[in-house]
Parts: sequence; C-alpha cells; structure tokens
Amino acid sequence: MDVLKTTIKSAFLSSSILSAFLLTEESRFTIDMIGIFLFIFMIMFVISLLMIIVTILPIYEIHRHTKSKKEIFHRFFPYYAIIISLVCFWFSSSSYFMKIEFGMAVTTFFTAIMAWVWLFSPAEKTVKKPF
Amino acid sequence: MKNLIITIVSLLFSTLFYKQNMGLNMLLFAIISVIFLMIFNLEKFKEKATILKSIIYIFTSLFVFIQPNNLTIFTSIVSFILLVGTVSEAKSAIYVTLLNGMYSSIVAVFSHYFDKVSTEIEQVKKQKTNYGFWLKIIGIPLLVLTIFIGLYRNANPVFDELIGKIDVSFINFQWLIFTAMAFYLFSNISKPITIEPVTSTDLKTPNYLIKDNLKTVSNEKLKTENQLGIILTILLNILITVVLITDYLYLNSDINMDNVGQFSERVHQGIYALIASIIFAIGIIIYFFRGNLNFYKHNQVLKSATYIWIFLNILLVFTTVLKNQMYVVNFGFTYKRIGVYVYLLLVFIGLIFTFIKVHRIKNITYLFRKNLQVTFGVLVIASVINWDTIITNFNLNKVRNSRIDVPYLLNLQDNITILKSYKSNHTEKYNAIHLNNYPEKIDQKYTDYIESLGNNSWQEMVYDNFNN
Repeated sequence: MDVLKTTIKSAFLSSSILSAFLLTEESRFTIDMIGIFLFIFMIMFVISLLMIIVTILPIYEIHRHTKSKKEIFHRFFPYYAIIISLVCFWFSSSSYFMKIEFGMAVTTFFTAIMAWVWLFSPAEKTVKKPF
Repeated sequence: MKNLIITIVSLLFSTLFYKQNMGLNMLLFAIISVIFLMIFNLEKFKEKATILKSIIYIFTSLFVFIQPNNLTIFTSIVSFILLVGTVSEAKSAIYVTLLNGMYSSIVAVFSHYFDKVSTEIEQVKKQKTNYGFWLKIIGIPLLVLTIFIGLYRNANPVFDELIGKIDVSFINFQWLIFTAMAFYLFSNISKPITIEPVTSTDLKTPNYLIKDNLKTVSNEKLKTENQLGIILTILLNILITVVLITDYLYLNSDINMDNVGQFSERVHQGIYALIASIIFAIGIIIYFFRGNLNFYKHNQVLKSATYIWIFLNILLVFTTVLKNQMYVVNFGFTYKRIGVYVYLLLVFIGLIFTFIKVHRIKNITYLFRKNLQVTFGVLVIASVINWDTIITNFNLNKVRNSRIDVPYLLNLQDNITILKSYKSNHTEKYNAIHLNNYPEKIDQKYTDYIESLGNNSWQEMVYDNFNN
C-alpha cells in the first residue's frame, strides 16, 4: 500500500478541485494564482495524509491479514462513501451551500473516494508505452 | 452514445436547477430520470417493484410542484434514491434498497472504475499509455510557460495589456461545475450497483425463524430464560396497568388549561417518555423472542404475558393520543403536535408487527422490513397532505380566539391565502382577536407571496402560478 504516492495524488487532486472553486471568480490569470495553488497544495498534502492515516488505513490494517485489498474495498468502501457523502452534504447544507464551503465539501468527497481507489487498486504490472 | 445521452441529460439538469428554486423542475427531473433509467436498464422496468417505485417517485415530485416545502422535497429525494436502489436490485428489503440507491447515486462510477482497473491488472500485463510521460510533456512546459507569462506581464506593460485582452469571462465556471456534477450523477445512476454481501444476504434471509439455523441452547438455559421473561413481563404488566389507571384518573380530572406553559411541558415530557418506554418495550420483546425461546415447549405463559403487555402498550398509545388531542383541541395544531401523532401511529404499527413477530415466529429482519416499509408509506402520505392549510383552518375555526398563535401561523409557508381570506371575510368576528393585530404583516406576506409567484421562472413554477 503506497501511502505517500496516494497522498501526493490526493493532494494534487484536492488542490485542483479547490482551486477551481476558489479561483474561477477571476476572469483573468494572475501570477498570484500559482502561489495560491502551491499554498493550497501544501495544506492539502497535510490534510490528505491525515485523512488517509485516520480514516482509511485503520480499516486496511485491521483486515489486511484476512482479506485481499479487493475484498476490503468491496466490503467497506460503500459504507465509507455513504458516510463521507452524508457528512459533506451536512457540512454544505449547514453553510447554506456557500461557495467556499461547498467547494471544500466536494473536494473532500472526491479526494477521499479517489484515495480509496488508488490505495486499494492492485499494483500495476504494465509495460508503459509513450503513445 | 451513452456519453451523448448523459451529456444531454446533464445539460437538461443544469437548465432545470442551476440557480433555481424547487417547483416544476423537480417534476420534470423525475420524468427525465425515469426515462433515463429505462433507457439503460430496460429489463429492470419489467419488474412490478421498479414500476411501482417509478410511479411513487413521479407522484411525490408532482407534490413538490403542487406544494413545494421541505417535506415534499425530502420525500421526492428519498423516492429517487429508492428508485435507483430498486433498479440495482428490486427484491431486496427497503433499507438495503436505500443503501444501494445511495451507493449507486454517489459513487457507482468509481466502483466500476475500480473493478475495471483491478480486472485489467489481474488478467494481463497490459500495455498501457504512460500518463506520467504525457504529464511531463504537457504539464511541465505549461507550468513553466505560465510562470514566464506572469513574469513578463509584470515586466512589460504592453505585453501585459495584450494578455489582459484575453477575456474568459464568457465561460461560467460555476455552471460548468454544476453541469459536471450532473454528468457525474447521471453516469452513476446509468448502471446502478449493489452493496455486497449485504444485498445477497438480505435476498437469502426469509421473514421467519428457522429452528435448524439457530445455535443449540441447552434446555436448562432456555428454562431459566423463560422464567426470567415471565417474571419480568408480569412485573412490567402490573407496572403499566398502574400507569394506565393513573393516566385515566389524570384524563378525568379537572385539568387547568389556562397555565399553557405548565400544561405544555407536562404533555411534552409525558409523551416523549411514553414513546421511549414503548420502544424500549418492543426491544425487550425482541430480545426474549430472538431465537430458541420461540420454539420452547413451555413458552405459552411468556407468550400470553407478552400479548397482554403489547395490548397494554397499545392502550398507552391511545391514552397518549388523548393527551395530545386535549392539547390540540385547546391550543390548536402545530407541526410538533402533528409529529407526535405520526410517532404514535408508527409506534402503534410497530407494536402490531411485534405481536405478529411473536405469534407467527418471525425474525427481527421481518420487523425491520415491515416497519421501514410502513415508515416510507407514512412519509409519502404525509408529504401529500397540505399541513399548513390544515393547521391554519383548524386553528382559526376550532381554537378559542384568545389562544390562537397568530405569529406561528404567519411563519407557515403555504397558508397566506387562507389568512388573507379570513382577514377580509371575518372582520367582525376577528376584530377582537389576535389575527387583526397583524393586518399589516398579513398584507405584507400576501404581497410578497404574489410577487414571488410573479418572479418565478418557468423552472420554478408551482401550482399556485396557474391558480392565482
């Protein structure tokens, strides 16, 4: 299970989604946006790491000796997805779907879901080709 | 083809809901969703359960158009989830269907993606496009170029002006995100999935207890449990009888209704405690009749005591109804008081199912299935009724004038035409009461309501748009 690789991917994904929400009000590109993106990336890296360690890794650690990664995914991912979606929906609705809060909820949801897919996919044994 | 259909439906979804309030759009969305599900899951629509859920979904959405409020919107969304769950597996219990519906609506795409990736990797060492390579080839130059553009803009005013002329404001990013979310939703529901092993376990589980499937328990242990059950149930029967007698005495006593606060507090506390006690009682019955005791030879006494206890609990429900009724007759309806009736109805039905469970040796799954089915039925019926109208009509006509809570009535969503009509038609009768203390507020609310109807876009249209 490659936690660091997944964390980097998650941080990049969450930064991209959150930046899309935060920066889309600007109609023109400014140099500050790159700085903002890098800042968001750093924060998201820490948050993603914590989220993976606290909410996903324990499930894997408890069942790793009795079940395969695929089995763990199919057994627990549905409930995790339902709970995280309810939490995100509650967070958005309690803030009356304000743009920033809604953006954070959407970011959290998609990042958590993709983190599961990345963490539990079997290791690739592919021969990569450029085209 | 599939993506084209999903794109078209997503664009329709955006047109219906982007920056719009609920109204006609919910009904149109329901029709579109049912057609969409039919296109991709035609076989499933040959099953009665799926057809029934589709009708319920469109029916509940119709009531969002007729009387848009939180309850009708909530019921419509629950019906949508239930329909999606039914398309994934029509024969499962309602709670499993809800779980499947939620799971499918939320993340079906990711689950399919995971299965695809896992299968591909497991089956073959397949040659695959190197995304890292593409990221390097496109991403890095793009990033460097962006940084340099930013730097040159700061250094060169002419270049800055040239770049500044590139205007992307015509792209509505919020709309794009909204449409992308719609695309995601429709991609999810195009091929609903089930949660395993819950769904397959549920399909295999019957509604009754099978003796051979139960863990063997010694006769001695069963005898002890049976004795414990008898003693506990008889004691509880005595206790509940005393409670019922005191309740009877209380209901027949001269109750002082003038102290609203004290009466209200007493009724509310009493009702909550009684509902909790009845649910607790069902829990105890379920515990004793969870397994082998159902098949124990000498369980007749326990069963009889349980039936009496269920009957006495039903009496307790009725005395609670009477207390709430006294409250309603004296102070009028509120949503909270209607909620108490609904809780009591559900508890009553729960007790009936508990009786059937014990009498016909059913299992706990049966209780869950039946109670949740009834709860959903009650939710649908409750969303069809216009409570605001009922509350307002009842309170204005049946409650003593001095006790009418006009501010409460003014806070309700769908009653302003009734209030306005009363204000106009009953001037004399209501001259002395609270209603006429609020003429400006009623007029203002009516004006706002008519104005909001006029401002409704075609997506937000409601029944009153055609009725006024």
